Amino acid sequence: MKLYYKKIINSDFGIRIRNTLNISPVDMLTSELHSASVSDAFVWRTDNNFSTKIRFIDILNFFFEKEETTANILFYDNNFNYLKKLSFTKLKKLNEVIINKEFFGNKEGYGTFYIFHDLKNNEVQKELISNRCYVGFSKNDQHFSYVHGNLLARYNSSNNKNEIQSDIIKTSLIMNQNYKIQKYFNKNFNNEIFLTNPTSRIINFKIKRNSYSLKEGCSLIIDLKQDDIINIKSNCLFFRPIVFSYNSEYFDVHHG
Amino acid sequence: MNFFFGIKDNQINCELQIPLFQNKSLKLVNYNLYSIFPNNGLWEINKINDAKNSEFFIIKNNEISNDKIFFIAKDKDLIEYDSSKLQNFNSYTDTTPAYRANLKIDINEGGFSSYQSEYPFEMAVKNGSILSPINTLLDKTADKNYVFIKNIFVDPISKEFDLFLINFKERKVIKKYLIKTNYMNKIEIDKSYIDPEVYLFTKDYLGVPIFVNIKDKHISFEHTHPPHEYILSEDKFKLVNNVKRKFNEIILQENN
Repeated sequence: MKLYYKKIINSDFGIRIRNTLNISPVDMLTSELHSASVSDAFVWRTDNNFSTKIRFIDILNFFFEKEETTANILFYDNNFNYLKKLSFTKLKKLNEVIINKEFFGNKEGYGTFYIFHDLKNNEVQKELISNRCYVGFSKNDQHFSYVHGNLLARYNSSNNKNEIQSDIIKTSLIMNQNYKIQKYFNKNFNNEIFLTNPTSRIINFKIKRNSYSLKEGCSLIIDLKQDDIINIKSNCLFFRPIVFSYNSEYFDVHHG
Repeated sequence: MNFFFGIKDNQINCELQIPLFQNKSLKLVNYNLYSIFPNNGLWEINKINDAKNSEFFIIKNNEISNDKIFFIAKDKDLIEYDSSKLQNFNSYTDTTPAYRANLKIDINEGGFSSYQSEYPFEMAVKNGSILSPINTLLDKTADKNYVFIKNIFVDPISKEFDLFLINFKERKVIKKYLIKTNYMNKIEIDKSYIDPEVYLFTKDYLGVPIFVNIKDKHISFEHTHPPHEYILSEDKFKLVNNVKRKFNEIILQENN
Protein backbone atom coordinates (compact mmCIF):
# COMPACT_ATOMS: atom_id res chain seq x y z
CA MET A 1 0.00 0.00 0.00
CA LYS A 2 2.79 2.37 1.00
CA LEU A 3 4.66 1.60 -2.22
CA TYR A 4 1.52 2.20 -4.27
CA TYR A 5 1.00 5.57 -2.55
CA LYS A 6 4.62 6.53 -3.20
CA LYS A 7 4.24 5.59 -6.85
CA ILE A 8 1.21 7.86 -7.22
CA ILE A 9 2.70 10.92 -5.53
CA ASN A 10 5.89 10.59 -7.57
CA SER A 11 4.08 10.04 -10.87
CA ASP A 12 3.97 12.89 -13.36
CA PHE A 13 0.36 13.63 -12.44
CA GLY A 14 1.14 13.32 -8.72
CA ILE A 15 3.96 15.82 -9.08
CA ARG A 16 1.69 18.25 -10.91
CA ILE A 17 -0.83 18.00 -8.07
CA ARG A 18 1.96 18.52 -5.49
CA ASN A 19 3.19 21.51 -7.46
CA THR A 20 -0.32 22.93 -7.66
CA LEU A 21 -0.89 22.57 -3.92
CA ASN A 22 2.72 23.54 -3.16
CA ILE A 23 3.28 20.34 -1.17
CA SER A 24 6.94 19.23 -1.58
CA PRO A 25 7.04 20.79 -5.05
CA VAL A 26 9.40 19.35 -7.65
CA ASP A 27 10.96 21.73 -10.16
CA MET A 28 13.21 19.33 -12.04
CA LEU A 29 13.72 15.58 -11.98
CA THR A 30 16.74 13.82 -13.41
CA SER A 31 17.00 11.05 -10.82
CA GLU A 32 14.56 8.88 -12.78
CA LEU A 33 16.61 9.12 -15.95
CA HIS A 34 19.12 6.43 -16.87
CA SER A 35 21.28 5.88 -19.89
CA ALA A 36 20.52 9.08 -21.72
CA SER A 37 22.03 12.13 -23.32
CA VAL A 38 20.30 15.19 -21.85
CA SER A 39 20.24 18.56 -23.54
CA ASP A 40 19.54 22.07 -22.39
CA ALA A 41 17.04 24.11 -24.38
CA PHE A 42 19.67 26.21 -26.12
CA VAL A 43 18.57 29.26 -28.06
CA TRP A 44 19.62 30.60 -31.44
CA ARG A 45 18.71 33.79 -33.22
CA THR A 46 19.31 35.24 -36.68
CA ASP A 47 16.81 38.12 -36.34
CA ASN A 48 17.98 41.75 -36.15
CA ASN A 49 21.40 40.95 -37.64
CA PHE A 50 22.22 38.39 -34.97
CA SER A 51 24.23 35.28 -35.59
CA THR A 52 24.78 32.48 -33.10
CA LYS A 53 27.81 30.31 -32.46
CA ILE A 54 27.66 26.91 -30.75
CA ARG A 55 30.74 25.56 -29.03
CA PHE A 56 30.84 22.17 -27.38
CA ILE A 57 33.44 19.66 -26.31
CA ASP A 58 33.48 15.93 -27.00
CA ILE A 59 32.48 14.73 -23.54
CA LEU A 60 32.53 11.05 -24.49
CA ASN A 61 36.15 11.41 -25.48
CA PHE A 62 37.07 13.53 -22.47
CA PHE A 63 35.49 11.35 -19.79
CA PHE A 64 35.35 7.90 -21.41
CA GLU A 65 38.26 8.06 -23.88
CA LYS A 66 36.01 7.10 -26.77
CA GLU A 67 37.31 7.83 -30.25
CA GLU A 68 35.37 8.86 -33.34
CA THR A 69 32.30 9.73 -31.32
CA THR A 70 29.02 10.87 -32.82
CA ALA A 71 26.39 13.45 -31.90
CA ASN A 72 23.40 15.24 -33.38
CA ILE A 73 22.11 18.78 -33.03
CA LEU A 74 18.42 19.31 -33.76
CA PHE A 75 17.17 22.78 -34.65
CA TYR A 76 13.64 24.11 -34.22
CA ASP A 77 12.03 27.47 -34.93
CA ASN A 78 10.14 29.52 -32.34
CA ASN A 79 6.98 27.50 -33.02
CA PHE A 80 8.87 24.25 -32.44
CA ASN A 81 8.77 23.34 -36.11
CA TYR A 82 11.69 21.06 -36.89
CA LEU A 83 14.19 22.85 -39.15
CA LYS A 84 17.22 20.69 -39.57
CA LYS A 85 19.64 18.22 -38.06
CA LEU A 86 23.41 18.43 -37.97
CA SER A 87 25.06 15.05 -37.58
CA PHE A 88 28.63 14.82 -36.40
CA THR A 89 30.20 11.52 -37.33
CA LYS A 90 33.59 12.22 -35.81
CA LEU A 91 33.60 14.85 -33.11
CA LYS A 92 36.59 17.05 -32.54
CA LYS A 93 37.81 18.02 -29.06
CA LEU A 94 36.07 21.36 -29.60
CA ASN A 95 33.23 21.62 -32.08
CA GLU A 96 31.93 24.85 -33.43
CA VAL A 97 28.89 25.72 -35.55
CA ILE A 98 27.86 29.17 -36.74
CA ILE A 99 24.16 29.75 -37.24
CA ASN A 100 23.34 32.67 -39.47
CA LYS A 101 20.61 33.40 -41.97
CA GLU A 102 22.35 31.29 -44.63
CA PHE A 103 22.45 28.30 -42.28
CA PHE A 104 18.65 28.09 -42.51
CA GLY A 105 18.35 29.07 -46.19
CA ASN A 106 18.11 32.81 -45.57
CA LYS A 107 15.76 32.51 -42.60
CA GLU A 108 15.62 35.35 -40.11
CA GLY A 109 14.17 34.32 -36.82
CA TYR A 110 14.88 32.56 -33.59
CA GLY A 111 14.29 29.25 -31.90
CA THR A 112 15.90 26.42 -30.01
CA PHE A 113 18.37 23.63 -30.53
CA TYR A 114 19.24 20.47 -28.63
CA ILE A 115 22.43 18.46 -28.64
CA PHE A 116 22.49 14.72 -28.11
CA HIS A 117 25.54 12.51 -27.94
CA ASP A 118 25.10 9.02 -29.30
CA LEU A 119 25.61 6.74 -26.30
CA LYS A 120 24.73 3.45 -27.96
CA ASN A 121 27.08 3.70 -30.91
CA ASN A 122 29.80 4.95 -28.61
CA GLU A 123 29.41 2.06 -26.15
CA VAL A 124 28.57 4.07 -23.08
CA GLN A 125 24.93 3.03 -22.83
CA LYS A 126 24.76 3.11 -19.05
CA GLU A 127 25.76 6.72 -18.61
CA LEU A 128 23.65 9.81 -18.11
CA ILE A 129 25.40 12.81 -19.62
CA SER A 130 24.64 16.37 -20.54
CA ASN A 131 26.60 18.68 -22.77
CA ARG A 132 25.96 22.10 -21.22
CA CYS A 133 27.62 23.89 -24.17
CA TYR A 134 28.40 27.54 -24.70
CA VAL A 135 26.41 29.71 -27.08
CA GLY A 136 27.81 32.95 -28.46
CA PHE A 137 25.77 35.77 -29.96
CA SER A 138 27.07 38.37 -32.38
CA LYS A 139 25.14 41.40 -33.64
CA ASN A 140 26.12 43.18 -36.87
CA ASP A 141 29.09 40.82 -37.32
CA GLN A 142 30.74 42.09 -34.15
CA HIS A 143 32.42 40.04 -31.46
CA PHE A 144 30.56 37.03 -29.96
CA SER A 145 29.38 37.23 -26.36
CA TYR A 146 28.85 33.85 -24.67
CA VAL A 147 26.36 32.28 -22.31
CA HIS A 148 26.29 28.71 -21.02
CA GLY A 149 23.35 26.31 -21.14
CA ASN A 150 20.99 26.88 -18.25
CA LEU A 151 17.79 24.88 -18.78
CA LEU A 152 17.87 21.06 -18.92
CA ALA A 153 14.98 20.20 -21.19
CA ARG A 154 15.03 17.12 -23.41
CA TYR A 155 16.75 13.76 -23.47
CA ASN A 156 17.50 10.98 -25.84
CA SER A 157 17.48 7.66 -24.03
CA SER A 158 19.75 4.93 -25.37
CA ASN A 159 17.11 2.31 -24.42
CA ASN A 160 14.23 4.00 -26.12
CA LYS A 161 14.69 3.69 -29.88
CA ASN A 162 16.19 7.17 -30.02
CA GLU A 163 12.91 8.86 -29.20
CA ILE A 164 13.43 12.34 -27.77
CA GLN A 165 11.55 13.00 -24.57
CA SER A 166 10.99 16.03 -22.35
CA ASP A 167 9.38 16.97 -19.02
CA ILE A 168 12.54 16.97 -16.94
CA ILE A 169 11.21 20.33 -15.80
CA LYS A 170 7.88 20.08 -14.04
CA THR A 171 4.70 22.11 -14.21
CA SER A 172 1.67 22.75 -12.06
CA LEU A 173 -2.01 22.88 -13.00
CA ILE A 174 -2.32 26.60 -12.28
CA MET A 175 -0.14 29.72 -12.61
CA ASN A 176 1.16 29.66 -9.04
CA GLN A 177 4.91 29.92 -9.67
CA ASN A 178 7.00 33.08 -9.61
CA TYR A 179 10.38 33.53 -11.20
CA LYS A 180 11.70 36.95 -10.30
CA ILE A 181 14.81 37.77 -12.31
CA GLN A 182 17.64 38.72 -9.96
CA LYS A 183 18.84 41.64 -11.99
CA TYR A 184 18.06 45.33 -11.69
CA PHE A 185 17.36 46.26 -15.30
CA ASN A 186 18.77 49.58 -16.45
CA LYS A 187 15.84 51.54 -17.89
CA ASN A 188 18.19 53.44 -20.18
CA PHE A 189 18.99 50.18 -21.97
CA ASN A 190 16.69 48.18 -24.20
CA ASN A 191 16.08 44.82 -22.57
CA GLU A 192 14.63 41.58 -23.92
CA ILE A 193 14.01 38.19 -22.40
CA PHE A 194 14.10 35.01 -24.44
CA LEU A 195 11.82 32.34 -23.01
CA THR A 196 11.57 28.72 -24.05
CA ASN A 197 9.04 26.08 -23.07
CA PRO A 198 11.17 23.10 -21.92
CA THR A 199 8.14 20.87 -21.31
CA SER A 200 5.52 19.02 -23.38
CA ARG A 201 2.71 20.98 -21.74
CA ILE A 202 1.40 24.47 -22.44
CA ILE A 203 3.05 27.09 -20.29
CA ASN A 204 0.86 30.05 -19.44
CA PHE A 205 2.59 33.04 -17.95
CA LYS A 206 2.15 36.66 -17.02
CA ILE A 207 4.61 39.54 -16.93
CA LYS A 208 3.09 42.63 -15.33
CA ARG A 209 -0.38 42.76 -16.87
CA ASN A 210 0.47 40.95 -20.08
CA SER A 211 -0.50 37.31 -20.53
CA TYR A 212 1.28 34.85 -22.77
CA SER A 213 1.12 31.21 -23.69
CA LEU A 214 3.80 28.90 -25.06
CA LYS A 215 3.05 25.49 -26.51
CA GLU A 216 5.48 22.56 -26.25
CA GLY A 217 9.02 23.55 -27.25
CA CYS A 218 8.00 27.02 -28.45
CA SER A 219 10.00 30.12 -27.68
CA LEU A 220 9.33 33.84 -27.46
CA ILE A 221 11.38 37.04 -27.23
CA ILE A 222 9.69 39.74 -25.15
CA ASP A 223 10.68 43.41 -25.15
CA LEU A 224 10.72 44.63 -21.56
CA LYS A 225 10.06 48.29 -22.28
CA GLN A 226 10.55 50.42 -19.17
CA ASP A 227 10.64 47.85 -16.39
CA ASP A 228 13.50 47.59 -13.91
CA ILE A 229 12.30 44.49 -12.02
CA ILE A 230 10.73 41.55 -13.78
CA ASN A 231 8.63 38.77 -12.29
CA ILE A 232 7.32 35.95 -14.44
CA LYS A 233 4.26 34.23 -13.01
CA SER A 234 3.61 30.89 -14.64
CA ASN A 235 2.66 27.24 -14.27
CA CYS A 236 6.27 26.13 -14.85
CA LEU A 237 8.60 25.43 -11.95
CA PHE A 238 11.83 26.35 -13.72
CA PHE A 239 11.15 29.07 -16.24
CA ARG A 240 14.45 30.89 -16.51
CA PRO A 241 15.00 33.19 -19.48
CA ILE A 242 18.05 34.36 -21.39
CA VAL A 243 18.40 38.13 -21.06
CA PHE A 244 19.61 40.49 -23.79
CA SER A 245 20.40 44.11 -22.84
CA TYR A 246 21.35 46.72 -25.43
CA ASN A 247 23.14 50.02 -25.07
CA SER A 248 24.04 51.82 -28.29
CA GLU A 249 26.01 49.41 -30.51
CA TYR A 250 26.80 47.06 -27.61
CA PHE A 251 24.80 44.29 -26.02
CA ASP A 252 25.03 41.89 -23.10
CA VAL A 253 23.62 38.36 -22.93
CA HIS A 254 23.31 36.20 -19.83
CA HIS A 255 20.89 33.82 -18.19
CA GLY A 256 18.26 35.36 -15.96
CA MET B 1 25.03 30.48 1.91
CA ASN B 2 26.73 32.30 -0.93
CA PHE B 3 29.38 34.94 -1.04
CA PHE B 4 29.48 37.44 -3.88
CA PHE B 5 32.43 39.15 -5.46
CA GLY B 6 33.58 41.71 -7.98
CA ILE B 7 36.68 42.51 -10.02
CA LYS B 8 39.03 45.44 -9.48
CA ASP B 9 40.98 46.04 -12.63
CA ASN B 10 42.59 48.92 -14.46
CA GLN B 11 41.02 47.94 -17.80
CA ILE B 12 37.47 47.18 -16.79
CA ASN B 13 34.85 48.73 -14.52
CA CYS B 14 32.63 46.59 -12.38
CA GLU B 15 29.24 46.77 -10.68
CA LEU B 16 27.71 44.09 -8.46
CA GLN B 17 23.98 43.81 -7.79
CA ILE B 18 22.82 41.61 -4.90
CA PRO B 19 19.05 41.13 -4.73
CA LEU B 20 17.05 41.26 -1.52
CA PHE B 21 14.65 38.60 -2.76
CA GLN B 22 14.89 34.96 -3.73
CA ASN B 23 14.25 34.06 -7.35
CA LYS B 24 11.03 32.19 -6.59
CA SER B 25 9.61 34.60 -4.06
CA LEU B 26 8.15 38.09 -4.23
CA LYS B 27 8.96 38.72 -0.58
CA LEU B 28 11.69 41.25 0.20
CA VAL B 29 13.95 40.73 3.19
CA ASN B 30 15.42 43.36 5.41
CA TYR B 31 18.99 42.07 5.38
CA ASN B 32 22.17 44.09 5.66
CA LEU B 33 25.11 44.06 3.30
CA TYR B 34 28.52 43.19 4.67
CA SER B 35 31.96 43.04 3.15
CA ILE B 36 34.60 40.70 4.52
CA PHE B 37 38.28 40.36 3.72
CA PRO B 38 41.39 38.76 5.23
CA ASN B 39 43.39 41.19 7.33
CA ASN B 40 46.43 40.12 9.36
CA GLY B 41 45.25 36.55 9.70
CA LEU B 42 41.67 37.40 10.64
CA TRP B 43 38.47 38.02 8.70
CA GLU B 44 37.51 41.68 8.98
CA ILE B 45 33.82 42.40 8.54
CA ASN B 46 32.31 45.78 7.68
CA LYS B 47 28.69 46.73 7.28
CA ILE B 48 27.96 48.76 4.14
CA ASN B 49 25.17 51.22 4.72
CA ASP B 50 24.83 53.20 1.53
CA ALA B 51 24.39 50.59 -1.21
CA LYS B 52 20.67 49.83 -0.98
CA ASN B 53 18.04 50.70 -3.54
CA SER B 54 14.49 49.40 -3.29
CA GLU B 55 15.17 45.71 -3.97
CA PHE B 56 18.93 45.39 -4.46
CA PHE B 57 22.27 46.26 -2.99
CA ILE B 58 24.22 47.98 -5.77
CA ILE B 59 27.96 47.86 -5.15
CA LYS B 60 29.92 50.27 -7.29
CA ASN B 61 33.45 49.98 -8.64
CA ASN B 62 34.98 52.11 -5.87
CA GLU B 63 33.68 49.72 -3.18
CA ILE B 64 35.11 46.64 -4.90
CA SER B 65 38.55 45.16 -4.34
CA ASN B 66 40.05 41.83 -5.33
CA ASP B 67 40.34 40.45 -1.80
CA LYS B 68 36.93 41.62 -0.61
CA ILE B 69 33.80 39.49 -0.74
CA PHE B 70 30.22 40.38 0.11
CA PHE B 71 27.30 38.67 1.80
CA ILE B 72 23.87 39.55 3.11
CA ALA B 73 22.75 38.79 6.65
CA LYS B 74 20.87 40.05 9.65
CA ASP B 75 22.88 41.57 12.51
CA LYS B 76 21.89 38.64 14.73
CA ASP B 77 23.49 36.18 12.28
CA LEU B 78 26.86 37.63 13.28
CA ILE B 79 26.48 37.37 17.07
CA GLU B 80 28.68 34.30 17.39
CA TYR B 81 31.03 35.39 14.69
CA ASP B 82 34.58 34.03 14.99
CA SER B 83 37.03 36.06 12.90
CA SER B 84 39.45 33.17 12.49
CA LYS B 85 37.21 31.25 10.06
CA LEU B 86 34.74 32.14 7.37
CA GLN B 87 31.28 31.12 8.51
CA ASN B 88 28.01 29.99 7.09
CA PHE B 89 26.01 32.91 8.43
CA ASN B 90 22.59 31.94 7.10
CA SER B 91 20.87 29.88 4.42
CA TYR B 92 18.86 32.66 2.76
CA THR B 93 20.84 32.54 -0.48
CA ASP B 94 20.70 28.73 -0.79
CA THR B 95 18.13 28.49 -3.55
CA THR B 96 17.32 26.49 -6.66
CA PRO B 97 18.05 27.87 -9.21
CA ALA B 98 21.17 29.34 -7.63
CA TYR B 99 20.87 32.80 -6.09
CA ARG B 100 21.95 35.25 -8.77
CA ALA B 101 23.99 38.35 -8.04
CA ASN B 102 24.59 40.22 -11.27
CA LEU B 103 28.25 41.06 -11.79
CA LYS B 104 28.51 43.45 -14.73
CA ILE B 105 31.79 44.54 -16.24
CA ASP B 106 32.29 47.23 -18.84
CA ILE B 107 35.06 49.00 -20.65
CA ASN B 108 35.19 52.76 -21.01
CA GLU B 109 33.20 53.90 -24.05
CA GLY B 110 32.71 50.27 -24.97
CA GLY B 111 30.75 47.11 -24.36
CA PHE B 112 29.48 45.43 -21.23
CA SER B 113 28.84 41.88 -20.11
CA SER B 114 27.31 40.17 -17.07
CA TYR B 115 27.85 36.97 -15.18
CA GLN B 116 26.21 35.33 -12.16
CA SER B 117 28.59 35.97 -9.28
CA GLU B 118 28.02 33.52 -6.47
CA TYR B 119 30.46 31.42 -4.49
CA PRO B 120 28.87 28.75 -2.30
CA PHE B 121 30.17 28.44 1.26
CA GLU B 122 30.60 24.68 0.69
CA MET B 123 33.27 25.44 -1.92
CA ALA B 124 35.17 27.66 0.53
CA VAL B 125 35.64 24.88 3.09
CA LYS B 126 37.12 22.39 0.64
CA ASN B 127 40.44 21.90 -1.01
CA GLY B 128 40.30 20.57 -4.52
CA SER B 129 41.20 21.28 -8.08
CA ILE B 130 39.87 23.35 -10.93
CA LEU B 131 39.77 21.71 -14.36
CA SER B 132 38.50 23.62 -17.35
CA PRO B 133 39.09 23.79 -21.09
CA ILE B 134 40.16 27.29 -22.10
CA ASN B 135 39.16 27.44 -25.72
CA THR B 136 35.41 27.11 -25.15
CA LEU B 137 35.17 30.70 -23.95
CA LEU B 138 38.35 32.35 -25.21
CA ASP B 139 38.90 33.51 -28.74
CA LYS B 140 42.02 33.52 -30.87
CA THR B 141 40.66 36.40 -32.93
CA ALA B 142 40.07 38.63 -29.87
CA ASP B 143 42.36 41.55 -29.04
CA LYS B 144 42.75 40.33 -25.47
CA ASN B 145 41.96 37.10 -23.62
CA TYR B 146 41.92 36.85 -19.84
CA VAL B 147 40.94 34.33 -17.20
CA PHE B 148 39.87 35.65 -13.81
CA ILE B 149 40.08 33.01 -11.10
CA LYS B 150 38.22 33.70 -7.90
CA ASN B 151 39.16 31.67 -4.86
CA ILE B 152 37.52 31.98 -1.47
CA PHE B 153 38.98 29.85 1.31
CA VAL B 154 37.71 29.45 4.84
CA ASP B 155 40.97 30.50 6.52
CA PRO B 156 41.82 34.22 6.29
CA ILE B 157 45.06 33.60 4.48
CA SER B 158 46.63 34.74 1.27
CA LYS B 159 48.51 31.68 0.14
CA GLU B 160 50.13 31.28 -3.24
CA PHE B 161 49.36 28.19 -5.33
CA ASP B 162 50.03 27.02 -8.86
CA LEU B 163 47.74 27.27 -11.82
CA PHE B 164 48.79 25.25 -14.84
CA LEU B 165 48.00 25.32 -18.52
CA ILE B 166 48.32 21.73 -19.65
CA ASN B 167 48.36 20.29 -23.13
CA PHE B 168 46.50 17.08 -22.42
CA LYS B 169 47.36 15.36 -25.68
CA GLU B 170 51.06 16.03 -25.35
CA ARG B 171 50.89 15.39 -21.58
CA LYS B 172 52.84 18.53 -20.96
CA VAL B 173 52.62 21.61 -18.72
CA ILE B 174 52.95 24.51 -21.12
CA LYS B 175 52.66 27.39 -18.65
CA LYS B 176 52.59 27.81 -14.90
CA TYR B 177 51.20 30.83 -13.02
CA LEU B 178 51.29 31.70 -9.35
CA ILE B 179 47.91 32.75 -8.02
CA LYS B 180 46.64 33.19 -4.48
CA THR B 181 43.82 32.26 -2.17
CA ASN B 182 41.08 34.69 -1.15
CA TYR B 183 41.70 36.78 -4.19
CA MET B 184 40.40 37.56 -7.66
CA ASN B 185 43.39 36.53 -9.74
CA LYS B 186 43.84 37.71 -13.31
CA ILE B 187 45.93 36.01 -15.97
CA GLU B 188 46.29 37.04 -19.58
CA ILE B 189 46.24 34.13 -22.00
CA ASP B 190 48.46 34.36 -25.03
CA LYS B 191 46.70 33.41 -28.27
CA SER B 192 49.18 30.62 -28.91
CA TYR B 193 47.80 28.75 -25.88
CA ILE B 194 44.20 28.81 -27.06
CA ASP B 195 43.89 25.29 -28.33
CA PRO B 196 41.36 22.46 -27.90
CA GLU B 197 44.00 20.35 -26.16
CA VAL B 198 44.89 22.99 -23.56
CA TYR B 199 43.23 22.93 -20.14
CA LEU B 200 43.49 25.09 -17.07
CA PHE B 201 44.21 23.09 -13.90
CA THR B 202 44.92 23.67 -10.23
CA LYS B 203 45.69 20.90 -7.79
CA ASP B 204 45.47 22.56 -4.36
CA TYR B 205 42.52 24.91 -4.22
CA LEU B 206 39.11 25.27 -5.78
CA GLY B 207 37.88 28.41 -7.50
CA VAL B 208 35.70 29.80 -10.24
CA PRO B 209 37.39 30.47 -13.59
CA ILE B 210 35.70 33.29 -15.49
CA PHE B 211 36.73 33.97 -19.06
CA VAL B 212 36.91 37.42 -20.62
CA ASN B 213 37.72 38.28 -24.19
CA ILE B 214 37.66 41.71 -25.77
CA LYS B 215 37.58 42.74 -29.40
CA ASP B 216 36.96 46.23 -30.79
CA LYS B 217 35.60 47.24 -27.37
CA HIS B 218 33.05 44.38 -27.41
CA ILE B 219 33.39 42.10 -24.43
CA SER B 220 32.38 38.55 -23.45
CA PHE B 221 32.35 37.39 -19.81
CA GLU B 222 31.26 33.89 -18.75
CA HIS B 223 32.39 30.99 -16.58
CA THR B 224 32.92 27.40 -17.67
CA HIS B 225 31.00 24.54 -16.12
CA PRO B 226 32.89 22.40 -13.61
CA PRO B 227 33.44 18.92 -15.15
CA HIS B 228 30.90 17.17 -12.91
CA GLU B 229 28.12 19.21 -14.54
CA TYR B 230 28.53 17.14 -17.69
CA ILE B 231 27.79 13.86 -15.94
CA LEU B 232 24.43 13.26 -14.30
CA SER B 233 25.02 9.59 -13.38
CA GLU B 234 25.77 8.56 -9.81
CA ASP B 235 29.39 7.83 -10.71
CA LYS B 236 30.04 11.44 -11.76
CA PHE B 237 32.64 12.22 -9.11
CA LYS B 238 34.46 8.96 -9.78
CA LEU B 239 34.63 9.81 -13.48
CA VAL B 240 35.77 13.37 -12.82
CA ASN B 241 38.38 12.25 -10.30
CA ASN B 242 39.67 9.78 -12.83
CA VAL B 243 40.23 12.58 -15.35
CA LYS B 244 41.76 14.89 -12.74
CA ARG B 245 44.13 12.12 -11.70
CA LYS B 246 45.54 12.12 -15.24
CA PHE B 247 46.19 15.86 -15.03
CA ASN B 248 47.87 15.38 -11.66
CA GLU B 249 50.08 12.68 -13.19
CA ILE B 250 51.21 15.11 -15.89
CA ILE B 251 52.27 17.60 -13.22
CA LEU B 252 54.04 14.91 -11.18
CA GLN B 253 55.82 13.70 -14.28
CA GLU B 254 57.04 17.25 -15.00
CA ASN B 255 58.32 17.62 -11.45
CA ASN B 256 60.34 14.40 -11.55
